[in-house]
This record gives sequence, structure tokens and C-alpha cells, in this order.
Amino acid sequence: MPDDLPGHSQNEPTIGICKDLGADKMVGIASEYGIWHLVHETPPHYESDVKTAEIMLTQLETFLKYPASSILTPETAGTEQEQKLLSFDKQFSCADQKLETVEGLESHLLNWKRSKHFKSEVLLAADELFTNAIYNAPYVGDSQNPTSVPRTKEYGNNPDIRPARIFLACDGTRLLIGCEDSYGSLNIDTLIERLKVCLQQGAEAAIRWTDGGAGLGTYMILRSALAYYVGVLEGKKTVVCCTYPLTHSRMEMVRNLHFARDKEVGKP
Amino acid sequence: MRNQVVLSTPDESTWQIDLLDIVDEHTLFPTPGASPPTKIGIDFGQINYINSAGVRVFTRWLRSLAESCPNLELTFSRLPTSVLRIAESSRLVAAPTVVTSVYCEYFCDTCDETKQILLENSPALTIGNENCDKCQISLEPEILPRTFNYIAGFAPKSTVKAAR
Repeated sequence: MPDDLPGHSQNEPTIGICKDLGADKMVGIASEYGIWHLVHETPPHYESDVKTAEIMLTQLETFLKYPASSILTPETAGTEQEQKLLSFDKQFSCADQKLETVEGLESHLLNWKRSKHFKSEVLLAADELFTNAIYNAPYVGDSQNPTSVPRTKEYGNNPDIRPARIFLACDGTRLLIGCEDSYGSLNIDTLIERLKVCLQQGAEAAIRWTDGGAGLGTYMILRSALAYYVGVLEGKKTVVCCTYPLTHSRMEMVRNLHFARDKEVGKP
Repeated sequence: MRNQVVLSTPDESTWQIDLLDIVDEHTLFPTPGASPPTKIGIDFGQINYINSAGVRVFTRWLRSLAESCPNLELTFSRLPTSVLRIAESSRLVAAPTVVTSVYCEYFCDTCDETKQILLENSPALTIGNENCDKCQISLEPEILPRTFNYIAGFAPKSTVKAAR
């Protein structure tokens, strides 16, 4: 990690261009320097991911409304392109819908020629994103539940949970899985610090042994994904997406990270 | 229920556990009773994935086994890539576990096809050359050298002795 990043001020919107950085170093930079967009200067997704970072920095509402096209085809992000790219889109609002959601995705993934294990990792991401939307998003942040709540039916099937959605999209080279909730409660600072602990100390040391989440979900997604994107409009909406390579070996890939948040206009 | 643990007992001191589909927060592992097993074999070959809560459930169970079955021989077989990715960091695979086989994925840079091969950890874990069924060119193994070396370290004892 560099001792100093010349010319970078903590609160300045910045896209960090990386060369052969591991996830631990990238998360370290996000944490230490507040650089929340880290893109490797490696083809084939470098230019596209820089454009996605620009959208997230300057038009977060576009990313939150059209995440698939903002990531896969950032030059043409919008309604039409979003509809073209989305191949699976399912709404859910309780824990009992997890099985049908994961099974729906699994059936859809049969269309892709990647291996069973590749699909398993996409399903794992779906499982973690679903769980966060049902058990974390509605509850975290209030004084009684600073991190997460027990994975019980009482919390998971609470009729007051606002609908969330899981979606899949593809541009022929990348498969994208994303999840949107209507809370905007994800604390990016906490997420980055959590990732840092997992990457520096290992999952075993980082496991939370209480009844809430184990605190490893994002770390597990990050270990298999090509890129990870988080956009939060505080109190309104969170969108988390990750991409997987369809045309490159995952051994050759470097990861990109994107975190962005904003407040509603008029809110302090 | 998609999360299932199938237990069979070939003899009174041996448990064979087949993990099916998903290990998650609802997965119930068997608890050793008054006469705990001395050998447990766990087959991951039919598993889809272990989620983060499942890692915690599994790790907790492994820790409890270490306390209740002090001389236990624990053997893992057919570990898939999704489990290998978290195996070292979570200590899901840790001494004195023996790993007899793992799945390795191979990727074709030309046609993007993938192939899975079961690698036996005996006499030693070796990544062989595989050719694409479609293009016939050599495939790239999708396993990190660090992960490979870590898992190779859990070879069956008889194999290690033979190698020496």
C-alpha cells in the first residue's frame, strides 16, 4: 500500500486506477484513503468500469435506477438498455421466499454453459444478497439492532418488510447478479471495515458467533466475483451488484470495487 | 428443505455424512452421543454451496467435535471450488482433517467451455493436463496455487508415509 497518495484529499470524489492489487490492498485503500472506486487498468473491462464509476460518482440516481446497464453498458444506461440486459428479475418480501427465489435463479442459470461450481457461486451470492435484504436492510441502524437480527421467522417474515428484488443480467462477457432494497440502510463504512477484518485476519477470526449474520457474506462474494458495486441512497434505496466473467478464466482476473452513497436532495 | 445432512453408520464407531445441496443457518449436524464416533467421513460431492451462516454452523460443529471426540479421524472428500475458496480462511479444512479428493475446474481460453475433474489427493494432489473436449487445446486449471498447496497438505497419512 502506498504511504501517501499525492494530490488526493479524503473527501474528493476519486477513481483509483490499480495495477495488480489484491482485494486486501484495495479494501485497505478504500478504508484508509476513502477512495471508493478502485479499477484495475486491465482489459477488457477497464474503460467500462471507469465509466460506471463516473456514473456512480456523478449520477448515483442513474445507477440506482438502472444498475445493470450502468455496469454492463454504461454509455447507454437507461430504461431500454436495462430491459434488454435483464434476464431474471424477481421481487420478494419475506424469508419464506428464499427457496423459490434461489430455485428460480438456478433454473435460469441452466441456460448458461459455465460449470456447476460457477453457478453455485452465483447462487451463493444470491443467497447472501437475499439474506441481507430481508434480515439486515429493514433492521440495521436502529439503536436496538446495530448490526443484524437473528435469522428467525419472526424477523424474516415480518409483514412490514418492504419489497426487494434480485435480478440477473448479461452482456455476453459478464454475468451480473444484483439486489435492490427500499431501505438505503447499508452502512458502507461498516461494510468496508468488515471486509478489512475478514481479509486481514481470515474468516475464522472474523465470524460473528451471535444469532445475527455471520459477517462473512460480502467477503465470500468478493472471493469469487469479478467486481463488486454498492450504491446507497440513504434511507431510500440500496443496490448491490457483482459480476462474474463468462469469457475469461477467473484465474486471470483482477477485481474492481465500487462504493457510492448519497443523501436525498434536501436532507442534511 | 434443500439443506440436508444424510448420516449413515457403517459400523458403531464410523459416521459417513453426505452433505446435500446447501449448508446454511438451518443445517443440523448430528451430535455425538455417549459413544462418540472415532471416524467421520464427509462427502461434499452433492453440495451446491455453503453460505456464510453455514460456514458458522459448520465451524461451530467442527469445534464441538474436537472437544467431544478427541481422537477423531475426520475425512473430507469431493470438495468443490466454492468450498475450497473459503476452506483455508475459515479453517473449515484444518488439522487433523484429511482431504482425499477435490474438484478442479478447467477453463478453455478459446471457446470458454469449462470442465470439472476430480483430483485424488493420493499419492499426491496433482493438477494434470486436460484438453478441451471441443477445441482439443490445453485447458487452464482454475485453482489458486495457494489454495492448491494448502489442500495438498491434508493428504491421507498413508500417502505421506509412502512418499517419505
